[in-house]
Amino acid sequence: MEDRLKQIKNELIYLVISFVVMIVIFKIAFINEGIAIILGTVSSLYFMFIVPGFALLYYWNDKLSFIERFVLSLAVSGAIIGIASYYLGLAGLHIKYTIIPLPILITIIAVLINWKRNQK
Amino acid sequence: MLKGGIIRLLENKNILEIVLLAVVFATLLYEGSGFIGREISHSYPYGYLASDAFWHENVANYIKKEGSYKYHPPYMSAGYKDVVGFNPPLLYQLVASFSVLTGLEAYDAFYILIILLICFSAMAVYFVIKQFNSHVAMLSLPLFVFLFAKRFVIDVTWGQWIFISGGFFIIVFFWGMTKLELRHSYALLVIFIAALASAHQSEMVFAIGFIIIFIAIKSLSKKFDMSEIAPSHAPSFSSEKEGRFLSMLKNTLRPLGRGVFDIKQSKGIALAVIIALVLSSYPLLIFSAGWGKFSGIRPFSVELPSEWNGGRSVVPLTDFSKIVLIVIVIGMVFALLIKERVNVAVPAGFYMLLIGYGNYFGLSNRAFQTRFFWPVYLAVFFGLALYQLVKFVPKGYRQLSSLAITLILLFAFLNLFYEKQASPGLMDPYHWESLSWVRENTDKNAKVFYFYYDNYYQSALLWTSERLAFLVDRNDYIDGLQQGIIKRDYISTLTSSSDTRFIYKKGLFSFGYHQDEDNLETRKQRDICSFDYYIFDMLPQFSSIPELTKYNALIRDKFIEKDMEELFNNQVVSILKNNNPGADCIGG
Repeated sequence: MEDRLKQIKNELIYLVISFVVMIVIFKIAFINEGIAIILGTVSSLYFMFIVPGFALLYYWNDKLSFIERFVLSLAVSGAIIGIASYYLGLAGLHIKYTIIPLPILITIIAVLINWKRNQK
Repeated sequence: MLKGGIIRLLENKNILEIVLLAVVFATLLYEGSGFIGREISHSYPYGYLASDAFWHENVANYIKKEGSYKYHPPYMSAGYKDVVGFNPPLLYQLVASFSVLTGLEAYDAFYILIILLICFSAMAVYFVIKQFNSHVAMLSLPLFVFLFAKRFVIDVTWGQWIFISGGFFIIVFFWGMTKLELRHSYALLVIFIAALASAHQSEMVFAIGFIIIFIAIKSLSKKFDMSEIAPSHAPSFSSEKEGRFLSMLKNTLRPLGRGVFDIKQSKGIALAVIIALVLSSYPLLIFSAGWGKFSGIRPFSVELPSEWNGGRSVVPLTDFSKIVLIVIVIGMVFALLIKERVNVAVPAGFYMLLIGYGNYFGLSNRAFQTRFFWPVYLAVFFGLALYQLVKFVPKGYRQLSSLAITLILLFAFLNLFYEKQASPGLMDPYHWESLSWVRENTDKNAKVFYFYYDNYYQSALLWTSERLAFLVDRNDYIDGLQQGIIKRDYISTLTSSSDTRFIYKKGLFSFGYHQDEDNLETRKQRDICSFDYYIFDMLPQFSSIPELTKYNALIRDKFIEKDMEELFNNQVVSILKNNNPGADCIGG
């Protein structure tokens, strides 16, 4: 259990480092843009596309490297959020009310799945 | 000490991989940002070079405002308010959400997300190839530079954005196919195929086709293997010629059959496809009644490159440049000679190459779209060819050699093939100001008539005003000018996305089509005096036919004489309000 906690702590540190690196890369690419917009864009990118997918892919952390999970997290988050928000929209829920809870919910579900796996 | 540090770093493959991928990602992002002035936020749609780009931006913006894609925007649907959201919804949902979250305008959020999807597509295909061979994966990276170079970049600048989301998800689908041995990994396949069904259905069809073809190859190669073990099971050849053919087929299929997936996994894959299709049943239902019915795949038809946008946007393989193409072809030859397990990357590369030529067997423009992503699909062959050189290097230095070749080629290609977009696109601050004025100051049901201006003929641009937009026919307008008269009736087009004939829901599983039921003609002669607002372009230097802009000024003066009111003028665009629609507005 202690090992697992240490591993999760390391992953979180890597994620924070990747966030800082991403801001630097964005600033280089979008050299004419202000730092506030870059910070907002990268933060939203992480909130919506990286963190939920990364949390779900953690299920396979022993088989997939950190960077592989990081790259694929955009696909997993994008697919789930895109499909879910479409159906929620059809059901009458405005997109502005779903975009904050959805990534949080996916992340919570991912944490529960991983926690359950570790219990076994 | 420094040397020792570098060697230790090179030995740590994980760190090396992360640093290398960060460099490639930064390079691609840098390339992409060049098309939007190296800024994220703009005061008007920037870098939009064709109508399709505005088409998609308008839908995303509509979803952002209305909250869902239950309906297609009425101002894009000839005023019908019940036209169902008939385009694949996934990307629009993501853009609208991202726009809400970041506070960026939908037109900026769209561009950023498209650039990111391309960057992440490249990163994802790296991992597909890595499963095959890590050196080949590394050496394939420089080819990604072409994603934003030559005509490959047209998918970005001309707004083939829905395709890009399909391209992204088919790549992650291929990645998913390399991970079938992971526990519960079928869940990933479900997610990716469902995403394909809501992102761009043609890629979903290609993905399912890939599965079917390889299950067939698996079954065949298994039969051949059996025939070797037990000669009694060997098929009896009726002629020597047939025997030679089957023998050749056997040799070709066997290596492919050993890769991709185990035949035992096909049941799980089939189940994943079924669950994904059930999850996406609603957008697929709309697709089958909409795009699928009116402009879907037409088996056995041939579409020549010149038939799609006059051939200007069709990418030939030669856009890789001769030398790079030769390297890719050499890689293909080596790929065919592989005797061991080939993994997904190689067959997927050949498969997507073939799909790119699908215009010759019924895939029409979906084939041409596929070619935009050839730099990722064919990257494995490029890497494979270069790897043949690296093999000559002593084992201990191969990692370093691959890294050096990758970095040198990456920056060489960037220098040789990448050109930053110099133009801000079809929009400019003056026209954006006028379209915004219409959006903010006119009644929602107002009918707006646009007189001649070159860029208006990329007509989706007009929908940014969020009003019904009628556009004068250029030829009829020239005819009026040549006759030296102001006509009461001009041919005009009600600009609309009529691709699916204004499809609406009649029942749970049935649809109607307003265009057919109402015999709606979007292009016809219309009384010029019957509109609520008129938009005139005033600066001849903005026009490719300055005489037509002067003709605009003549008509504008006549309208003002007839008591129309000028409500907006920014020296480039003038907007008049008709206080008495239907009454004579040009005089005897």
